[in-house]
Amino acid sequence: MANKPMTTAEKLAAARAGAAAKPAESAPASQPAEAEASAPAAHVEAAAAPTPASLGRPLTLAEKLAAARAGGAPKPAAAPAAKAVASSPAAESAPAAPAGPPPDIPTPEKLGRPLTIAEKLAAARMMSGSAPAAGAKPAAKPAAAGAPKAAAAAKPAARELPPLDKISDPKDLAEALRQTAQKKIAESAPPPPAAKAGAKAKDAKPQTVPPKPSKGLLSKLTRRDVTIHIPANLAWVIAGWVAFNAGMTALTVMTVRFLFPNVLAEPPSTVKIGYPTDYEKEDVNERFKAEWGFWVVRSTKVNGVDEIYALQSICTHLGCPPNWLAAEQKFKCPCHGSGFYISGINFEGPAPRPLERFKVTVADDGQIVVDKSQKFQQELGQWSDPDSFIVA
Amino acid sequence: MDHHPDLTPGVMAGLSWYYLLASMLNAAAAAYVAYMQIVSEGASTKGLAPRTRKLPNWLMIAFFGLYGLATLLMLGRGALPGGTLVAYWICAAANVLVAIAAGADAAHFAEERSEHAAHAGVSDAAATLDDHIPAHGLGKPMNRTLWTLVWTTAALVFQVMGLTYALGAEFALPKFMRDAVDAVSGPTTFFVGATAAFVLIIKYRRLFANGILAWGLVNAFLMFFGLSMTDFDFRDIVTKPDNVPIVGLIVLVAFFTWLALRRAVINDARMDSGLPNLEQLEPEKTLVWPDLVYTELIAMVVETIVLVVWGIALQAPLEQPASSTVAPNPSKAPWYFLGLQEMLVYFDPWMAGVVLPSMIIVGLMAIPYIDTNKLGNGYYTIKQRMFAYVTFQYGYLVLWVILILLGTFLRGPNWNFFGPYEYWDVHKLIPLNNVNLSDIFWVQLLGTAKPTNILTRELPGIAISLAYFAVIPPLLGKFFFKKYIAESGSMRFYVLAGLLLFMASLPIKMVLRWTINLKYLVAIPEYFFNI
Repeated sequence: MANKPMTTAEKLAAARAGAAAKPAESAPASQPAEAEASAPAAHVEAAAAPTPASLGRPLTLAEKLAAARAGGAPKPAAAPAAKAVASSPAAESAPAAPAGPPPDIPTPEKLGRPLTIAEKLAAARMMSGSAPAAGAKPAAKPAAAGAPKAAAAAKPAARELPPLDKISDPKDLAEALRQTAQKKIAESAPPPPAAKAGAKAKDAKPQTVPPKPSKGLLSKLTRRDVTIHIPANLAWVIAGWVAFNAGMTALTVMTVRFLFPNVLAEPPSTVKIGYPTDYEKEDVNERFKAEWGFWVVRSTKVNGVDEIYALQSICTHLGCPPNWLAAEQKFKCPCHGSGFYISGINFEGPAPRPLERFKVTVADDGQIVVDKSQKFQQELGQWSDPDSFIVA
Repeated sequence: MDHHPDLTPGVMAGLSWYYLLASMLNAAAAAYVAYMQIVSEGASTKGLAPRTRKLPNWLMIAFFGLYGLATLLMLGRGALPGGTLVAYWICAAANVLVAIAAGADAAHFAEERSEHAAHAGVSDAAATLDDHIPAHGLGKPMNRTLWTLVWTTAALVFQVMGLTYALGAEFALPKFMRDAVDAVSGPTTFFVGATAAFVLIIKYRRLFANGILAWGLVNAFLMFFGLSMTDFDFRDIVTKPDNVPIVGLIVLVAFFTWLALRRAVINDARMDSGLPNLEQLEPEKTLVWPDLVYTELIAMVVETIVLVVWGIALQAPLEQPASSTVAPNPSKAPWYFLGLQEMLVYFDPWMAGVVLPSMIIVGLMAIPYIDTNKLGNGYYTIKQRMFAYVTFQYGYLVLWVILILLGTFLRGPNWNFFGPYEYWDVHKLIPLNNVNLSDIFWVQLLGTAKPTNILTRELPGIAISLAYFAVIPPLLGKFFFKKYIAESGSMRFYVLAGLLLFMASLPIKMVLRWTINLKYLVAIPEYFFNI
């Protein structure tokens, strides 16, 4: 690229290239490996973000941001990069192999299943430590020194630091301390080279946080602690849930119980309405409508038999109380105009079904007893039930 | 009926004042047409000669002076025997004076104008600000002389009617006319007539947008209302405290619908000619302080006064204590729910009380998602949003407002239909032998008994209901909504079609009830399922 400030279009293109082409992120990180492995992952460079080397000038803020963005989400890209490196013939001999993700990060390939959220989070946490190494930082530094941190095992490539007494930059001091610590760990650690490489890669991971050499020990301890303490915790959890459920059950039971009060102020559901002979033929008696909500009807219009029945005075459409219109010989509802014959059968308006009957029986003293607790619906064929009428 | 006198002294006094008001309105209209500068919305006055018409000061002084004198007389009517009648005469004189002066001056202006034109050799066609400058798309300028004289005449007619009542002449609407109106009115004619009127208004909206026709309709309504008030039954229903708001609703809905329609018609015509629409001409910008705040304050004060006066003048219609076994006859929902109550006459409660109201709300909420027409944003238009306008206005005006009017004024005891002048007879007998579709199909058509199996029994209704929702949408999509589907996708279209069909189900069910006495298409009372 020309040695001139980038145009907005170029910046955008660069940003887009960095953001869209994920493989590009791993390019700087895998460069050392590629150098030895006859560039098996050459394609990843296709959309490489601009580097100071390629531009011949310091990066602009926009470029840095783009690069950071490119490196900010290295998780999916890191795995392909690792794969590319691993598949290269040089992978075994090259100590730079761990340039990819630290070996203990599970990948879908390794597990043969999609990652769980917990695994992804763990991976992300680990990667975020190495992210600057994989993306932004290498991009911001000369390519020759690319990925010195991610490829921590490739120590020869580590940053050249001034002698300790001449260090002025705190970063350099930190780096020097870190390297010293690593050296010590490496010395104290068991010697197998592969394990060493792995361990180093692991230790190299937290770039921006102080190294935690005792982490392995700590994790072992915690695991043991957990295995010891889980039963106790579990007991508390179980106890808590049992108590909660018991409380809720008790509350529900009490609520249900509340629906059935000890004392019912309702009027009794049965009423004695006199003798069958009190009722005239083909007549609707309205005496019990206001208080009890039913008409006593004596009629032959239902099936030709002279019978007495109690019709509930509630319209089957929407529950208004109809009126008995003697002149028209019909029940008529004032709300929506439903009409019923003296038999209770609906014939006009929107009422979908006949009026309902209450249970009628003859008591021992010969009086009629109407029981409002039991209803008989014509459309269900219940009007043939002997309890629904009395033959006069 | 003797105990239901059509005319009482109180009614006649009320009517005389009512006609006085109608006369005053027409006198004002005549004066407006005669004297004022009439430039309709958006019309340009560029290059027009200034107006020479002017409202004479003496006329204004005389008018307000006479009304002031009448007010004083009314205040002192306790001390002055016959003061009310004298006050009435003074008001009438003021009305007549304004009406006749306006008519005479209009004629005079016309004469002057033609003389001037003959003198100067100017063609009569050259408009000046003395002429009516019509809005674009609303036709030619009106003849100001002619229309001044028409409204003058109307003012005089109303005033004469008012005076006859003031002098004690008992004029009631002739019985045969009332009977004729009652005879033709019924739910069918009312609803079908309203639908037809709706279609006519949409189709001839250019005509209806015209101020002259609109004022003519106002006069017709005033006359109809005044004459109808001479009928006891009409008056009884209309002046019930419950129903007074509905009368106000007629006026408000009619006015605002007309106003929006007029602006839409003008906008459509303007945009057809490539002119900016009215809202672009006069952007509705108002300063919050002081303009908007003052306006709101005044509106608030007026509203409060109206409510207080209303609350004092018309007592709340309290009735007997509620009882679960007694219902007033007729039992009416609050006025704003009377449309729903009317719907309940034709449907099962769960349909008319739950499903259809929910569909109304869901449909209104879905409008922003269904309506992909970007036009008509921020200005009145009908042409650019024909489907949306017609659908909404039909649902609102006909299926809601008109049904409220039906429920309020025309539904009487036992929810029977009563004509506007009909006595609300509790024993009115209207035979309504409603039958279910299953009866029509199995018993009447096939001559067999109804099958015992519920599903078989209701198969015709179920098939029709399913076909209604399954067959019509594709047909609609194929023949009427091709463009909409292409623009908005078939998903939106099917939602729209479903909502439309639910909306259409009400008038369809009403018509089926009236024509073939159909109760339910699908009637399964065993499971409380009826359509």
